[in-house]
Amino acid sequence: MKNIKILFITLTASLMLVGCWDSVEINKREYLYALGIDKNTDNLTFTAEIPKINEGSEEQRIVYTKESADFAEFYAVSYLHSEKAISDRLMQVIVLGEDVVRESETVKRIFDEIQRSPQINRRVKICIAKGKAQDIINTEIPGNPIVGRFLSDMLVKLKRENYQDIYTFDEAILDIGKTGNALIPVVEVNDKSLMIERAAIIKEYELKGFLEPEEVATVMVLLNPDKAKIPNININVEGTNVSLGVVDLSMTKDFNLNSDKLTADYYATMYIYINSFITGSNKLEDQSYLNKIKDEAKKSFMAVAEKTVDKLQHTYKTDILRIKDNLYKYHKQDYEKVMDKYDEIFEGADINIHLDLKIKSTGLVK
Amino acid sequence: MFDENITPYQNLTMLILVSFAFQSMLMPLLLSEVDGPVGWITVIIAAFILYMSIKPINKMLLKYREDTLIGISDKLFPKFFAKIIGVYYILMLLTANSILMKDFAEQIKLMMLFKTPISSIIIVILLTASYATKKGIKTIANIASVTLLTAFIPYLLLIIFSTYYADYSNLFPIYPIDTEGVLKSVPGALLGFFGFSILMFSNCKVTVKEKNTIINKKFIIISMLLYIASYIVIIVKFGIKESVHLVWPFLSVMKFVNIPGFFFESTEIIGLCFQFIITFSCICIIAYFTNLAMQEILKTRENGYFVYIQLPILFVLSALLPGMYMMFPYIQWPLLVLSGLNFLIPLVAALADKRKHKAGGNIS
Repeated sequence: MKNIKILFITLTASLMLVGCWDSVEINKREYLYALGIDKNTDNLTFTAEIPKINEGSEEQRIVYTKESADFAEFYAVSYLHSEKAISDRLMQVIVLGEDVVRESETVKRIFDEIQRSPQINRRVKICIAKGKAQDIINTEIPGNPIVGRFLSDMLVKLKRENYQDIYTFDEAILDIGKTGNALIPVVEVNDKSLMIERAAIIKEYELKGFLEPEEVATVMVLLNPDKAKIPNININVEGTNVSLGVVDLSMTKDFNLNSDKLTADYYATMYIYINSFITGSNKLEDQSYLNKIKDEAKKSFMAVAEKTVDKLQHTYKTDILRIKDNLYKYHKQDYEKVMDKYDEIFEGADINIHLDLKIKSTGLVK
Repeated sequence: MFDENITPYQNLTMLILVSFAFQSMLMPLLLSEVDGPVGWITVIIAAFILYMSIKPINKMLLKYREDTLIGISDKLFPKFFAKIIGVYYILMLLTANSILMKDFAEQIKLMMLFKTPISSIIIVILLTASYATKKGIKTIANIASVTLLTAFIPYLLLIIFSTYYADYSNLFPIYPIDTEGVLKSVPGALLGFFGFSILMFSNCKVTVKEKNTIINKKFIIISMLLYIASYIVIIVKFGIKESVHLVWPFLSVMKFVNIPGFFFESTEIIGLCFQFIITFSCICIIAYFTNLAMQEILKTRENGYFVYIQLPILFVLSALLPGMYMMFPYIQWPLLVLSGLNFLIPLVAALADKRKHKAGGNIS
């Protein structure tokens, strides 16, 4: 009798425990890979990219556009307009249109919905479109037609190589939460492809402006000198073009807050090598010529660095350098006295970069 | 019939698991009450207080080898007080278990069973847990041991992978320390060491009772380290400003699990499954010791069937109670009372026992 009971329970349980009665097979699903969000007169325009993975081709996709108030409505409408179930579990990238990020309320609503949802992956990559997000999603890239995959791979690469500060939604929301500011990659249409060179400055969920590629590189150096990727420094010394590569960079930072006066000093030592010079010239054996190269290189780097810092302080009035975060963490008492007027203090701060250049090598030839 | 004894290490496992479940649940309180990322100081203070009290309490427990705290109270205090202590522990364990169950059921519903009514989830948990509970302490201890190996350790390992791109400077500022916040959150942190209340009942079931003191001390230290490590993981991942907004910090941490070469549609579900196994074991453990408390009060020979009394009470309580996160604004005083009583009752009993023996010694 006991055995019969056990057998009965096992059979019943095995029928119940499969737990798949409301499952949806993969060929009955549509996986969103990329989602572009733009602003229209009343609502948001969602442009979704869905790869045709069910039909055996990884290189084909469907792109469709719908007007909705938020993600929830977009999914609800999409569900009614398709024979398949919409899934965002594999979403790779969210592209926010320029007009969307110019309105802080809209960005707050979008960010809140992503953050609150148990379904949407917080590690979804994020970037801002220069212009319309729809144009980015609609771009037909000949070598890699799935825009979501293209942008995702590109953002991962840029983050790994420290060309950009942020690549995922969670980093963006954490940065904005911590300091009120974030530097988000900007994607632009580049002929028949896409490119990410610039970065957008977001302050309190609102787009303040863009940084040019060399400015982004400078900010990355100041933020993370150990890992930052510095592009070649190209200068002209006594009529000869010299290209310098940065092999190493060490930096110490010193932030001081004296009542209302903020001083930020960055002491950087940059180790460089001669990337290209000119064949047949033996000027590199001359120490004074090497010193001239150093001076020119320093001038070149400092010109961009000072322009960038000035832009951050006076044009965008945004502390993307995380000085505020540093003050909160290491000078909390002083910071709390001025936290309400920090923006003014940042604008009037003395931010100095002290650069020391050292030529490590002239390459394989003298 | 089912009652057998457990080994000291099974006892340790149970205490750690139960404490971890409560620490995870009470983490938002610790994060929000202290200004700045110095909640770990609170945990150290709470652990120190408990550590210092372990020795006298164990001395008393060792004298009454086969009795739980309720049985000991019966011998030390007047009948009325002993009964009140017994009723308090039953109510406290029932409330704690129902809050844990409610929290557990809500997480399951939110993350996995979107369409299932929460009451159905609670019923299923209750029925399954009651089956294990009825089997007795040996089964419960075995479940705890298996949970430790198959869920708890993998869960902790998985959490390590969530610290990808964590910012360790989030552990600052330390100075100036929010002394008021740190001290105010000590009662909550004390309650996070829920195993401290459980050991008043579990120690008498251990085969080698002489090892209890060292095992209990180990429990306090391991639990403290786990509590601090969990706190630090959340702080380095989210930063203190973002952490205070999280309803279930561990659930959010799971969303960041990033294991190279590990592909799942939603990786957090793997971590959640581990977490659910741990919480389920804790529900069984607490339900068993509620049975034991009922047995001591009613002086019955069996305790397994008390789970049938617990079932409707737990169901009603967990259905009635709001989720833990909804209660945070209102639980400052109840927390103070609960952690105060949980800490003081055994200490007062130990003191009463010492005085009684001193008096006995003087007479002789």
